[in-house]
Amino acid sequence: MEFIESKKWIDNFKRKWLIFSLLRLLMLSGAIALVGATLISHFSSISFLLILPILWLIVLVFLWIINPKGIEIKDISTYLDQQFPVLEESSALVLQPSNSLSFLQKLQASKVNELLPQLAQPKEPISKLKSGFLFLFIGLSISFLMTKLPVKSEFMDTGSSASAKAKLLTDSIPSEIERLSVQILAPAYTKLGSRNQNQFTLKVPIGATVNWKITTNQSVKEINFIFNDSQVIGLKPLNKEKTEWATQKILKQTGFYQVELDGKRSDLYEIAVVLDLPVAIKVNKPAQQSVIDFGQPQQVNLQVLLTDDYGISDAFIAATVTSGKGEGVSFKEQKIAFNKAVSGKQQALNQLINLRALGMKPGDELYFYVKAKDNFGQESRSDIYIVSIQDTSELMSLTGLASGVNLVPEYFRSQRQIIIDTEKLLKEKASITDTEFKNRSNNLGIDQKLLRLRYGKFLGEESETYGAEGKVEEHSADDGHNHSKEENVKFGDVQALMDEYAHKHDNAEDAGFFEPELKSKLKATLTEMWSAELRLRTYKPQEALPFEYKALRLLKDLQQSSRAYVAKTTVKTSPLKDEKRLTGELDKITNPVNNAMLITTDQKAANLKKAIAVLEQLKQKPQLSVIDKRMLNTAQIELITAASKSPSAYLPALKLMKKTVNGEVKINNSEIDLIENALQKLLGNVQPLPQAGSGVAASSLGKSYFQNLKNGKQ
Amino acid sequence: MNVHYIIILSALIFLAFLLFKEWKRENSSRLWIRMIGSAIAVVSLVLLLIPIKYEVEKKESINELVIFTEGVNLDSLPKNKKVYTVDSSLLQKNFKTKLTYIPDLAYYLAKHPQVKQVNVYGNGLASADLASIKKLQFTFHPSAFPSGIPSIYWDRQIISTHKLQVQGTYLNNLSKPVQLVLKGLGSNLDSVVINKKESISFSLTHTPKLVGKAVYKLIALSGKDTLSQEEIPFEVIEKPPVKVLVLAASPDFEYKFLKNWLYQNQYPVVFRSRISKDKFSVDYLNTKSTSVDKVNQSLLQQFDLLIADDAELALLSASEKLTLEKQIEQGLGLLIRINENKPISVFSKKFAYGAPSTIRDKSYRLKLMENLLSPLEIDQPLYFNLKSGNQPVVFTSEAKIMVNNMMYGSGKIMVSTIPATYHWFLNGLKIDYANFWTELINKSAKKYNNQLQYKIEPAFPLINQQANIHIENPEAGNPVSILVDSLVLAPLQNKYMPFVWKGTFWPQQKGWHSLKVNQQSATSFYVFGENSWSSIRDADKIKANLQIAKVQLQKPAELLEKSEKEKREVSKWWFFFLFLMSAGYLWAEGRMD
Repeated sequence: MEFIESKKWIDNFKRKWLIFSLLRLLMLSGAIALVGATLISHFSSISFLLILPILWLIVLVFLWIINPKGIEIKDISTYLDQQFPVLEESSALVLQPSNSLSFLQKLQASKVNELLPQLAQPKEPISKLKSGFLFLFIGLSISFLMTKLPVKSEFMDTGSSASAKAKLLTDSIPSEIERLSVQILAPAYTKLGSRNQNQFTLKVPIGATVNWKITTNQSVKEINFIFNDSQVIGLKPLNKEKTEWATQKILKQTGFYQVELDGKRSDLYEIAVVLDLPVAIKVNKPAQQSVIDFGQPQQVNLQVLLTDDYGISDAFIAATVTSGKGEGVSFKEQKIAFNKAVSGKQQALNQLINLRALGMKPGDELYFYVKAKDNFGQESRSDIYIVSIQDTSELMSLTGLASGVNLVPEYFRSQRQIIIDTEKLLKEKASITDTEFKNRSNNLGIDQKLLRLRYGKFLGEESETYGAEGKVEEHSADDGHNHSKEENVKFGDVQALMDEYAHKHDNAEDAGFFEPELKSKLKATLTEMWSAELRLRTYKPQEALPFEYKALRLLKDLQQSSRAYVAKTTVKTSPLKDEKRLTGELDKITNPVNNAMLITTDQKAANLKKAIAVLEQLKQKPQLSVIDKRMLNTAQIELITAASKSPSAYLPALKLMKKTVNGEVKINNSEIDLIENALQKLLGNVQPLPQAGSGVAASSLGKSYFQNLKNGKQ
Repeated sequence: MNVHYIIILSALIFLAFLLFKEWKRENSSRLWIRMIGSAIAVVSLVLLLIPIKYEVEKKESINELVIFTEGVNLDSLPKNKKVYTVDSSLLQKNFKTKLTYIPDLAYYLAKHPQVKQVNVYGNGLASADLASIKKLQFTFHPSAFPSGIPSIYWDRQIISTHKLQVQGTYLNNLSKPVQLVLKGLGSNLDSVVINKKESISFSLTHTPKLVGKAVYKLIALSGKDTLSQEEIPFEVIEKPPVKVLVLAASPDFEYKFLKNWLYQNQYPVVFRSRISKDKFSVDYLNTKSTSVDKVNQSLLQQFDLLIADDAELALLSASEKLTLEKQIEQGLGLLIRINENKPISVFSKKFAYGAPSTIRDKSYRLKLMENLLSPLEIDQPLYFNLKSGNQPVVFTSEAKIMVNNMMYGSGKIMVSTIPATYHWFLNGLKIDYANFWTELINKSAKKYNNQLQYKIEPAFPLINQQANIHIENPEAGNPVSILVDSLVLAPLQNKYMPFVWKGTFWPQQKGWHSLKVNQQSATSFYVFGENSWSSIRDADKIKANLQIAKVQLQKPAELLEKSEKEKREVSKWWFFFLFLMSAGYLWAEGRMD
C-alpha cells in the first residue's frame, strides 16, 4: 500500500513552499530593481517604466544564480520532522515506496500516514512572504524618497532639449505622399558625404545638392515645389502611373518651400543653409608689436591656431621686411611656408622665424600676417604683426643732438655739371695723357651713376638694376662681347630667371606719389643717364654727350611738369550805385521761398500695425471680414520676405498666418500670440512722435473755466 | 419615533442576551466589569443611532443685527449672537448652520423695525444695501484688504507711438514674493516684483506697436502659480500730425535739425527766418504756401504750435503780439526758445529765470518725467525759478528746471532754455532727440476737443451688471441719442448739468462694444468678465463701507436683549469612542487567559 494521503499532503506543502519562496524572490528582486531603476532614471533621461522591468529581470536571474538551491521532497520531510515531534522523525518513510520498507518501517509509516493529514500546515512559508513584503515596502519607500531629491538640472536639460529637438523636426507631410526620401549631397570639399532623410525640413551645408523623391499613394497630375513663395520648380514623374516624382536643386540660400500637389499646397518647410566659414586664425604669439632689443636672439616664435569648419587647405606667412627710413625705405616681400603641412579642421602651428635669414639688420622691421585658405577656397588673413630690431647705431649717432639740421654733403654732381665736365674733358683730351683721360672719363661715369641712382630713388629703385631697356641697350652697344643671358644670370637664381619672363603688376616702385606720366618720363631720363654712364665708363665721352644732354632736357621737362601754374587774375566787381548806398531800401529784394513735400510710399509699418490689431480682434471674436483678410494679406507678404531671409525666426509665424488668412483651421490664442510676436519683431523699434493731443472740454462751461483760470492768475 | 422604539427594544434584548452570556460563562472572573462593559457598549451603540439633544439659552439683542459679508474672518464670530448674511455665496462655504440668510436686507429691515444697529463684518455691504441702512447705527468691522490690486489706472485710449502706462498698487499678503507681469501680443512686456508682505505702487510701461484695439494681460505670479490674470484693454488711435509754425530771428542748427526732423516725419511745417528788416526766408514743408509776412489770426489758426525764439517774439508788432495772445487763449501752443539771460518778449517775461554762476561747458543729464536722457552739453545753463501756475517739463539731474510750461487760457506757453539738442542727433542718439521733442510738442501743442466726451460707470463695466454711460452732449439742448452696438438707450438728462446725459444698460457680452452718439461719433469700450478685477471691487466696497460707518458712527443705541432657546446635539463621536473602548475591552478580556 502506498501512503497517498500523506504524500499528497507533503506535495501540497512543497508546492506551497515553492510558490511562496518564488513570490519572496520576486518581491526581493522587485525591491532592488525599484531602487535601482529610480536611481538610474533620476540621474539620466531613461524612462523609469522602461528600465524597471529590465532591471527586475536582471536582478531576478542574478539572485537565481547566486542562490540556486531548489527544494526537494527530502528537505520537506526533514523540515516536517523538526516541526512536528508527533511524526517521530518518520515522515520520510511515507515517501518511500511501501514495498521497499521493512515491517517496522511500514508500521511507523502507516502511523504517520494517519497523523500527517490531520496536522495543520506550518506557517513558515507565509512568514517568508512577510519578509518579502518588508523588503518591497522598504524598496518602495526608498525609491519614493529618492524622487523627492532635487533633480540635477544638467541631466534634465539634455533630456528636455533632445525631446524638444525631436519635436521641432517633425513636419506635417500631405496625406497624398506615401513615401518621401530626401537625399542631401553635401559638396565634396566638406567631406560630409550624402545623407538621407524622410522629412521636408532641410538643414544643409551651403552648395549642397538635394534630391527629392516622392512616392504618392495615388496618381497625381502635377507636383511642384514653391520656394520662398515665388520660385516654382516642377517635379518630374518617374513612372507611367505618375506616382513617383523626383527633382533636385542646389541650395545656396536659406528660405522655405512648400509642396503643391495638383494645386493643393502643403505646409511650409524650412530650408536652413549652413554657411562655410573662412579659416579662423588666432595668433597666440608674438604680440601685435614686439621689439627685439640688442642682445636678444634675432628670431620670432610664431604660434598660430587655425580652425575651420570643414578643412584647411593651405596656410603661409606673408612677411615684409622694411629697411631704411624717411624717403629711403625699401620693402622686401617674402612668403614663408609653414614647416608643417597644413590640413584638417584645426591645427596649431609653431614656427621659428629667423630674422637674420630674412636679411634683417638692426633698425629693420618685419611686418607679417598669416594667410589661410579653406578647402572651399575662401581666404582669410590675420592682423598684421610687427617685429622690429632695435637700431643701436641710431641711438649712438649725435646728428640729432649736435646739429639741428642733417647736412648731407653734396657728393654727387648735377647733370649740368656732368655735361660741363664732359665738354671740358673733351677739350683737354689733347693735353692730357690717355690714362688720365680714361680715369677722368671713368670718374665722370661714376658721377653719372650716382646721379642716376639718386633719381632712381624717386622711382623706388634701390638697386642698380632697373628696366630692361637699359640692359638691352647696353648689350646692343657692347658688340665686342658675346654676352649671353645665361652668363648674366646666376645659376639657380629663380627670381632673376622669372623676372626675365614674368609680366609683373603691382611692383613696389609703382606705389609712389608720382603720376604714371611723370614716372615714365623719369624712367626715360634714367635710361638716358644709363646710356651716358655706359659711354663714359667705356671712355667714349664724345658719344656720351648726346645722351647727357637728352637726360638734362628730360630733367628740365620733369621740373616743368611737376610745377603747378596759376595765372594772375584781376577781380571785376560790379560798379556801386552811389545814390542807392546806405538808404536801407529792401523793396526790390524778394523773399526766398522753399517748398518741399515728403511723400513716402512705404506703408509697411502702418500695415503691420493694423494687422496686429486685426489679430487682437480675432482673439475676441473668431471671424474675419474681407477688409481684415486684406490687412492680414499685406502683413503676410511682409512675413514671406522676412521668412525667406531667416526662416527659423519667421516660418512658424508664416505657417500660422497662412492658416489664418485661408481660414482653414481655427486658430487659438497662443498661435495668434506667435504671429503677433513675429510681426512685432518685424516692426522693430518705434520712435516716439508728437501728435496733437485731445482732452479739452467741448462744453462752453469747460471753456469758460479755462478762461477764468487765466484771468484769476493775472 | 417608531424607529427609536424599535432600536431601544432590540438593544435591550441584545443587552439582556449579552448579560446572560456573561453570567453563564464559566470563567467568572471580572464578571461585573464585563457586565458593565457590555452595558456601556450597547448603550453607546443606541446613542450612536439616536442623537441626544439638549437646549441652550441664547441671548440675542433684538435691535442689533450682525451681518457677515464676503471676506469675513470666521474667528471674528461674536459669541451668543445670531449671525445673518446677505451673501448667498457665504452660505455655500460650509457653515450653513451658523448663518441665517437674508435675501433682501431692505425688506428684512422694513419687517423688523426694532433693528436699530447693524454690525457688518467682512468686505461690507453692496451699495444698494448700504442705502437701506442709512437711518440706522452702522458699525463696520472690515476684514484685511485682500491680496491683489486694490487700485489701477491706464488710459483706455492712447495715441500711436505713445506709451501705455499701467499704474496701480499691489498688496501682497502672501509670505512669498509676487511677480506682476504685463503681457501682450505674445510676449512679456514689463514686470515688477512685490516682496512678501508688502504693498507697492507699480508702473508698467510699454509702447504698443499697433493701431487699433488690443487686450493686454496683467498677470500676478507667485512662483509658478498664477494668482490672478486680469485684462488690460486699450485702443491705439492715430491723430493728425501737429502743424508747426516756426518764427526764427536767425537760422541756426537747432532750427535746421528740428525742421528736418519734423519734415522727415511728414509734419506740416512753415519755417520763417528773418534775413533783414521785414525780409524773411520761408520754407513750406509738407504744406501749402501761405503768406507769413504778418502774424495774424488767419495765419495762426492754421497751426497747432508756434515755435519762436525770444528775440523774434520781441520783434513782433504790438498788434501781432495781441493776436498771438488771443490765439494762445483759444488753444494755440507757444514754445519759446531762450538764448538770452533776460527775458525780452512779453511772453517770456511771464517766467522767471536766470543764469547761475556755475561752471560753463558742462554735460547735463536731462530728465523728462521719469525718462532720463543721455548727457547733453550746455554752454551756459539758464534755470527757471518755480512760480505758481508753472508746470515744469524738463529738469536737470539736480532737479533744476530747464523747460517750463504754463497754462494760458486754453493754450500753453512753454519756455525752453536748452540751446542745442541737435547734439543728440549728431551723436546718433535719435531716440533721445525724438523723446525730448515729442514730449515738448505734445505738452505745448493745441489740444483738440474730443468729438465725444463720455464716461462709463463703473470704470470696469462687468457682464450682466448695470453700466451707466454719461455723455456730454455736443449739441446742447437737444436730447442725445445713444447707441450701444445696435441697442438704443433711453437718455436721462442730468439735473444740474443740462448738457450731461446718462444712458443705462446691461451688457450681455464680454469684450468690445461700440458706442455711437448722435449717429456719428463712434468709439468703443470694453466689458469685462464676471470675476474680473474683484480685488478692486472688494477694496472699493471696504472703502465705501468705511466711509458710511464714519458718517453714521453715533452713540450706540441701548440694546434690548431677547433670550432664545437653541437646541444642540451632543457629538456622536463621544459614543463612538465609548463603544469602541468597551467593545475593545470585552474582546481583549476574552483572550487574556
